[in-house]
Amino acid sequence: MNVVESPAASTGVAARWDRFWYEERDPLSLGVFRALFAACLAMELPGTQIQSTYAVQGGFHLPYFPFPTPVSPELYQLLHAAQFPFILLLGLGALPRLSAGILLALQSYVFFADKLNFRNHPYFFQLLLLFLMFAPSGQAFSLPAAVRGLFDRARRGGTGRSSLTAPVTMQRLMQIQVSIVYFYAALHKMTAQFLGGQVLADLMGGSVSGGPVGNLLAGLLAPATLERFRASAARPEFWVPAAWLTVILEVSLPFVLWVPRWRTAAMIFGIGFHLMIGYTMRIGVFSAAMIASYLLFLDPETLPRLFGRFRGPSVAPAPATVPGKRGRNRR
Amino acid sequence: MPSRRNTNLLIAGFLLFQLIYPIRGLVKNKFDTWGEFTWNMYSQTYVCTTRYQLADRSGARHELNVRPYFAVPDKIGRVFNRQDLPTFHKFLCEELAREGRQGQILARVSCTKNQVQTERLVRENEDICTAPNHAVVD
Repeated sequence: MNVVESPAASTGVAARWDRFWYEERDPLSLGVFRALFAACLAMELPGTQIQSTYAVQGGFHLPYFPFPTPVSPELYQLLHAAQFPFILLLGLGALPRLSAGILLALQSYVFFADKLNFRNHPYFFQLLLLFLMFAPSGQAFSLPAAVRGLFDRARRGGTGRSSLTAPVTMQRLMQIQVSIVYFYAALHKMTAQFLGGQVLADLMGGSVSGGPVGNLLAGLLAPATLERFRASAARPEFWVPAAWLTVILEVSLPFVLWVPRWRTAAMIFGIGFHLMIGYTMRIGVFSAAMIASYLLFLDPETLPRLFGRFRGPSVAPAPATVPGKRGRNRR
Repeated sequence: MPSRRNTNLLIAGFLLFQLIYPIRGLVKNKFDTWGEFTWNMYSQTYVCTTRYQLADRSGARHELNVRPYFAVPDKIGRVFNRQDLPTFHKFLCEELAREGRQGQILARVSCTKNQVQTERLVRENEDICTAPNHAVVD
């Protein structure tokens, strides 16, 4: 049994390090994230299946390692089809560690079979799967947790959710990974060409002329106004505010998401940003995963409190406990 | 389960890699390396124009379409950097030899970053099969 200890009781770098990495918290945020991330994986899979065909034998290959080698087209299809049951299991929180491990193995085989398969967000997803292999994500918001909860409630003869805690280590790694993604994405954009609007003018050209933005505006604007807008959008200066906003947001988010008093604002701006690029640049699944990852930054009592409102009276959320023995802390 | 000390070492090692490796994308030029694992998402544009020709023994030049050698032809641009281009040229030489197509292979690869900076990545008048570094500019 873990001993509840005041955070002020121990100070110093080692104690802070331990508290940061090994604190025990309610794993509900992690569980909800796992379920949403599984949905993202399911949405991403068909796209990867089309775009990662460098892993199929024949043609030019740029392998990272002598292994894994390209596979036959039939095996390639199988490597993808086999992922769906494990995505379902991950989403339900049934055998989530094993499912994450199998998914990571299947995805990594295709990914590392050829350097030409590299895309940033499948790589990001694989890092998240790696963390989920070791995370106690199935302890909450999962089928086993629901069944366990039913038995618990029956045994206690009451309602509500029993408090549960688990080490926060893997959740922290995911939070830091999300922060790293934002931080380096911002650093790479701190160039004269990006901040001057040239890159966005080029990237957004298709969207404005015939893509989602173009189609949307075609329904809203008169033809002459639409033409004037398109002419303006073709100029880099038009995109300067968007470029600066992007960089400011991406460089801020990895820090302000960690600060409780700024977190809500950060999330609102972040969600708006991802919805925008999801719609205009068709970066939908990555955006959805990043938005889902914001759950990992929430205070441990936030989601249990929100869920509690829907469920009626519940046992109070578990307090953070001092880093100690691993395992569940049922009370 | 690993001990707390080993877990700390694993965490520190992983974070060091994740923090240090992406710096490569900031210090290396897009012309030098494609920049994977660096989170350089949508930060630049990179457009290349290319021409590959097979010069037969009579000196006649025939255009080579290299796109079919790529599983996703639209992503051919991923090899147009100094790090990966020699590997592609080596493959192309072996592939044409295997197909029985004899002669010198001459290439022109000109890439433009962010619409403003252009570099030629290949020495145009050299056979990519016999030239040092497969005719890719160092």
